[in-house]
Parts: sequence; C-alpha cells; structure tokens
Amino acid sequence: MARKWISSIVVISAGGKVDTTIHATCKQKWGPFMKQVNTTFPLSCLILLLCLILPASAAAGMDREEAPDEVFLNSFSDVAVAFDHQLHVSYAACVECHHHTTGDTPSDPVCNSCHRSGGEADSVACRDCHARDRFGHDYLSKLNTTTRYHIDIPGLKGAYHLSCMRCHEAIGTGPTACGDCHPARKIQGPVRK
Amino acid sequence: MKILVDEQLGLPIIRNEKAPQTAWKLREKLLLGLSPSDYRRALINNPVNWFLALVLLVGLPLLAQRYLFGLQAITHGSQDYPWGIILGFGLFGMVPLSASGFLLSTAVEIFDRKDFQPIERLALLNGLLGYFFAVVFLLVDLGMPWRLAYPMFVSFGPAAVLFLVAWHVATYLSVQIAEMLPSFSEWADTPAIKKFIKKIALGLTIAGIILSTLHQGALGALFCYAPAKIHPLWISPEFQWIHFFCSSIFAGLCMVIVVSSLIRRFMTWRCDRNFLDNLDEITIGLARGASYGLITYFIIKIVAIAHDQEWLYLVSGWGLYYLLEIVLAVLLPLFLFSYGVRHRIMGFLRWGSVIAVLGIVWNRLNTVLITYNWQHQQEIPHWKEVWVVITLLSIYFITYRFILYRLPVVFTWKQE
Amino acid sequence: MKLRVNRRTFLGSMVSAAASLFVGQTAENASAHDFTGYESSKGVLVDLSRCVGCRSCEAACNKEQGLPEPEIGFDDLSIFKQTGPDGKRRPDDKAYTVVNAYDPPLLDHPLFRKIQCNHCLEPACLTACFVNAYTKTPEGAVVYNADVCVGCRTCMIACPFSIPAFRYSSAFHPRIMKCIFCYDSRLSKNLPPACVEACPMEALTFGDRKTLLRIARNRLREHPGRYVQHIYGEFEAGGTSWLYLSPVPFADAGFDMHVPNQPIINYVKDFLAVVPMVLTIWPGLFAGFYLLSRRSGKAAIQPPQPEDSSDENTGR
Repeated sequence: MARKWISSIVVISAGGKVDTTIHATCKQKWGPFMKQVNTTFPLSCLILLLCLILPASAAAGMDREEAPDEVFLNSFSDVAVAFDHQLHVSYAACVECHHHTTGDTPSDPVCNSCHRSGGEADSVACRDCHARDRFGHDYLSKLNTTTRYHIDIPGLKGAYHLSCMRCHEAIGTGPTACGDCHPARKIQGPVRK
Repeated sequence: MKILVDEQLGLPIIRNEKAPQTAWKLREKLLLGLSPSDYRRALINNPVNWFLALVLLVGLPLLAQRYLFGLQAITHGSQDYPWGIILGFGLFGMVPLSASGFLLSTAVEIFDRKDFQPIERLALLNGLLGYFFAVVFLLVDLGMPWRLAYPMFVSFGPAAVLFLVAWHVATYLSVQIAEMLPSFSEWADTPAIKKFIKKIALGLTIAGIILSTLHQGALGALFCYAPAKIHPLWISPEFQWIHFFCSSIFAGLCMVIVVSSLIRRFMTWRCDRNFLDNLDEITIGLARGASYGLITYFIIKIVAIAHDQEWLYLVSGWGLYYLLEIVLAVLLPLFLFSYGVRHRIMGFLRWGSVIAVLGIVWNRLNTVLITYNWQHQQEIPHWKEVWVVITLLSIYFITYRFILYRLPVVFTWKQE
Repeated sequence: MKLRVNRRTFLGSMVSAAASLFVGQTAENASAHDFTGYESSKGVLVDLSRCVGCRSCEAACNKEQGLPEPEIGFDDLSIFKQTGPDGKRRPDDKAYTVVNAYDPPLLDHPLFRKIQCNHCLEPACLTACFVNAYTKTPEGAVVYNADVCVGCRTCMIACPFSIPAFRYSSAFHPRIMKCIFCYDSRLSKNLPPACVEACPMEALTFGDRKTLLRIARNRLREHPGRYVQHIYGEFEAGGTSWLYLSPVPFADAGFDMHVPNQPIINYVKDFLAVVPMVLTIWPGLFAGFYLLSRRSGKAAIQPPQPEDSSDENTGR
C-alpha cells in the first residue's frame, strides 16, 4: 500500500519523468533504504527530496535489490502504463532489458565484444538513450554519423514495445495485446496469438 | 443485299453520273440509288441488321452507362487486371489484323506487285478501319478519354513505349486516311485530292512501313514492362517486339483473305470482274506470304524459348496451353496454307485464314489477360464488358459495310 | 525533376518518309544506365519481425491522405481473414497501404506485412507513363500528377509490385491512387510519413536510404537468427526506397520473388534501341527496293508514274 503511495508521489513530483527519477534512486544505492522507508510516509518524502537534489555519482555493480518496485511509464500519454518492475526483477537478469548499463556483463555476445567490462552507465533509464522524439533532428543526426556503431537505437516507444513484447512472446506469458497494458487505448491491435 | 440487286435497276452505283430525272445527290451517294423507303425496306429485310440491332439495343445503353458512371459500371474494375478484354481485343487484337494496309501498299507500290492491285484498296480500308476502331476501343477503355491528345500536345513522356504507340498510331491513322482519299475523291468527285495523294504515294507507303514496324513492335514491347507478371512463355523481352511485328504480317494478310472471301460471298453485287476474277490468285499469293510469316513466327517463338531457356515450362500446365496455341494458331494454318497453295484448295486457304485471325486474337488475349498474373488468380471478364466489345465490333462491321457499299474499294470507279 | 532522358525524338513519326532520314536520334544518355537513386533519397526500413498487425499505419495513412472511411474499422481484426481476388488484400483506390497476415510454416504465430508503394529508385510506373504523370522527387518519393493522367493504366501493368490502383468508380474524376510517401504534407518538409510515425513497434524506420541499408545489415549481422539474410528492396526492381527484413523466407511473407533485380525499363531498352534504327534505315531500304523493282535508274524518291500504278488502267 505504501509502495503505491511512493510511486504516486514520484509521478506527481517528477512531472512525467518517472522512470528517470526512480532509476536515479536505485542507482544511488538507496534501494535498500527504500524498503525500510516503505513503512513510513514522511521518510519517503525525504528520500524523494534527496534523490531529486543529489547529483548522480558513478558507481559500479548494481544489485537486484536496489531496483524500484513499480514504474509508471507515462512519456507518451497521461494514462500511465504501470510496470511491475519487481516482478520482472524476480525472474530476469538486469541485462535482459538494460543491456550493459547496469554494469553487468551483457548476455548477448555481440554486445560483449565492447561492453564486457564497460562499467555502470550514467543512467539506466530507458528514456536517456531511447529518445522520446525519435524523429527529432538531434536524435537522427546523432545516430547518422559514420563513426558511430549504434546507428539503430529505437525510439522510446519502440524500445518499450519491442522489449516487452518480444520477451512476452518468447516466454509465452505476459501481456501482448494492446488492451493488456493500455486499458484506455482505442486501437485494440496486436493479434499475435 | 442480293435482293436489292434483283429488285432495283441502276445498281450498283459505279460512276459519277446523276440519275436522269433528279439532281438529288444523296440518293446516289448514300442510298445506293434507292429511294428512302426502298432503302429502309432493304435494311429491314436483312436479318443481319436485326442481329446488329439487338446487339446495339443492349450495347449502346451499356456504353452510356460507362460514360455516366465510370468503368466500374461495365467491368469488374479490377486493380489486378488493369487491361481487360476491351483493350485486349480492341487494341491488341485489332491492330495486328489491320497490318494489311501497309503490307499490300508495300507489295504494290514498293515491290511493284501489280497482281495484288485489285485488293490493295480493300487492304487499305481494312487497315484504316482497324486502326480507327482500335482508337474507338481505346476511347471506351481510357479512364479520361477526353485527354486522348494529351501525349501529343500537353504532357510528354517520350521515353515510354506507349508514347511511341500513341504518336505512331495517330500518325499512321493520318497516313491511312490519306491513302484512302483516292477512293473517297472518286466517290466525292473531287479529283484534285487524288492527284495530290498520288504525288506523295511512295512517301506515304514508306512512312506506313516505318510506322507499322515500330508500333506493331511497340505493342509487343509494352508487355516488356511486365516481365514478371506474364507467363515467361508469352513474354520474352528481347523478342517480344519481333513476335508482335512478325505475327502482325500474317495476321494482316489473313484478315484480308477473310474479308475478301466474305465480300465475294455476300457482296458479290458490289464487286467488279477485276476483283472477282483475280481474287483466287490473290488469295493464293496472300496465303503464300502469310505462310512465310507463319513459319518465321514459329521459328522465332522457338528461338525465344531456347534463348530464355524455358524448355521446362513446356511440360507444365501452362506449357501445354502454350503448345496448344502454337499448334492450333500457328502450325495448323501453316499446314493449311502450304497444302492449300500447292494444291490450289481455296477452302483450305480461307479457313486457314479464319483460324490464323482467331489465333492471333487468342495470342493477344493470352498475353494481355489469360497468362497475365499467371501466378495468381485469373479473371473472367464481366458480361457487360464482353457485350461492349461485341457492340463496338458491330459498329465496326456496320461502318465497314457502309463504306464498301459506296466507295470504290472492291470495284473500279468509272471515269467520265 | 525527371529521371528520364529523351532517348529519341518523335519528329520521326513524320508523314514524309524522306524526312525520317534526318531524325531518330540514337544518342542515349549514359547516366540513364547507371542511375542508382538520388543521393539524399529517403526511405523506410520495414522489419517484419517487429510488426504486430495493429494497423495503426493503415489508420494513420487514411487520416493523413484524407481517404474514405473504410467499411471495416481499423480496429477490427477480422480484416486479416478477409480475402481479395488474390487471396490477400492489396492497396486500392481507397487505401494506400494495407497490412496482411501470413502463416509462414516456420513461425508459430502469424506474420504481418505492410504493403504500399516501394518508391523504386527507377520506377517502372514513371518510365511507362507516356504523359509524364509520375515524378521521382530527390527526397525519394514517387508522386503522381492527376492533371495530366489519361487513365491508360500502363503504370498498373508496369509496376512490379502491383501498387497503383485506379478509381474505376468515377466517370468524371477517375485517377490513379497510390502511396506518395506523404510527399506533400510531410516528406518535403523532411518529416517521416504518417505510417512510420504511427508505428508503435518501430517496425518502420525512416531515414536516408543509405543509412537504412547500414542499419539493415547491422540487424542481419547482430541477429542472424532473427532474419533471413536478405534485404528485400536493396536490388529488387533496381532498388526501392522501402526496404524489408523478414524472419522467414520472403516468399512465405507474400513477397513476389519473381521481381527482377534490375529496373523494369531495362527490359524495354532492347526495343527502344530498335526505334532509331528503323527510323533511319527503313526509308532508304524501301526506297531502294522501290527502285530495284522498277529497274529504273531515274531520280531517287519519286512518286510512281500514273501509267505504272494507277488503278483505273488495270482490270477491265
């Protein structure tokens, strides 16, 4: 119950930048602390305040326990998609979704040739690499350089959908239809069932 | 019309004399020297006219429907078969059958084959009408017929094969009109036109050869735009234009044999001795020419298969259909012609021509419609579309007959 | 601007045979043989492994292009069971793009494929059009001008992908209907087409064609198991602005694998090369025949003497 409280506060205070905030929180190893504060509402407010004002610091080797419990994805719509992060943490390695950014060795051997010991990235938030506006000039010109290897980074929406649905399809469980995640959406599309 | 000849004196009109008691030209020029009531009676007595009337009775409203409500109203409006039977028959079938004009004028004017002279005008008329009606068919099928002249005057796509077809058909139509003007000038009593045309006859003939070679070939080359859609046996990009050009040679000659045979059989009263007496010899000559065309065509069809290495296709279902076409539409008339010419069996030549004419139409329909999208579903034309084709053919027939009755085509006009 | 060059002039269609000696240019612009697309040509990479068949692209296209409301709504999935004359839906005069479902034997779920104009580098429709109604813009779009179109539908014959559709239902305003890459409203302003923007799976990636090819090769290399090793559209029909990656052999996803790897116009060039030859050689050749058959050494091109050929002297 209190976990929900925090989450909703995060949403309100961060003004639509939920996932960043939460990831910043966990990155600064206040995750364990978070578990304790779950019990008390005032303390959680303090944590929130701290996490907003404290600068990011480079630290390697994140633990699963540091991960946030729930993330609300609302970059594209006021109706946020609730993502039970803790549930996924329980049966997937961080690298499955976060590539190399958590500091762990990526599972994909292709990534390993460069990112085997790359250390933890400045941010593990999806939106910090996957642009919300994938057609924006800055984003496109960043990708479209001859020296760059990663010229094929999906935008944020694509990243969410590809990440979620590919996995759900592969393991044969989890939501794959639009309505499963977007209750208010008009288009009731995906039918890969 | 035999009835007419029996009942009426003064027929046929073959000179510019006025009827003794009247200066009314219409009667001589248009009504075959009959009074309007007699003319009407003759029309009604002819059962062929009843058939034509029946066709037109349904067909003309269908045409109106097409122009008021769009092509969708009379066709399937298929996106997969953009060219239906209207173009498949009307343009791609009529044009090779109309190659007769340039063939016979070449024979007579260039190669000095005077023995073909009695049939030259019929061949020219057949060519002119064939082309004219190909354009009429086109006007029915074009989405925006009122823009027919756009490729000439408004917007040019000169690298397109159809651009060449449009220009050449338009120009050749003019050439053919010019070539038919002598008959018209005799009938209309305006000798100046004839004199002028005579001066440029050779130029017209050579222009006719060039234009015909190119656009008969171009009609074939049009299908090179769809190398993957038409069955490989019917499309051979390197040879397609030669196939179409070569087949138009025997198609045109056979069409003349067919038409002249029909005229001799059903319009004897209109022919003069020059036409009737020489027709058998001419038919043999034409059939001989056609058989050369057929054997050449057969060989280059085989060469194309060898060149494209398509032998294996022959053992498929489509391959058998292809062989059927080759045997029925090429080898059968070829046999009938060679046997018929040697033994002077006119029936063989005439029926061989009928088969060859139908065969060429069949070949064109195979290319445009039947083997088009061969890997997908075939489409059966809408009955209204077929009826429109028959309607336009009937109008073609009526026009053909109208002109043959009046203009000196199969008879010689008497000079005063 | 147009890709095409004037290969010939058609003054050749003259009335006088003599005049033809001076026309029929054989000059061919060498660049026409080598054209491999505009430098800045944009394109879209379609990754079939990503498409989930939500039809957002169809809906977006319909809205952007102001096309008529479909009979079956875009959220109605029964559409995938609907069959056209050919078993599958195709773009027509009411839809510039359609998504079809396929059941490839290698997959346990349906595979979806979006169909629209592939915007060839050297478009068959353009090269087949005799009134120049099509234009390949430097941005890569193949656009159509309804104001000069005659409605001959040769473009529909020529298109190797069977994309252009004709509005048969109109008597007075028929026209070709086809995807124009949202040229007017978007591409010309360097914006992605509506369908790409609408795609939630980023199954459609918009960008420079050259970059898209690099991206496609990257995906093939990084995920060799996810795709068949082929980029459909890289060479098909001489190269197309829209490119495709597929998890199954392309034929299983309804692609026409008979589309040749060269521009369709190449198949017509054999004939086009004949045109100037006929225009120049025929007049002299047949004038020569004429002279030979007359066995006369007189002036070259002259009309036959009346007593030789006039018809009133023959016969009876």
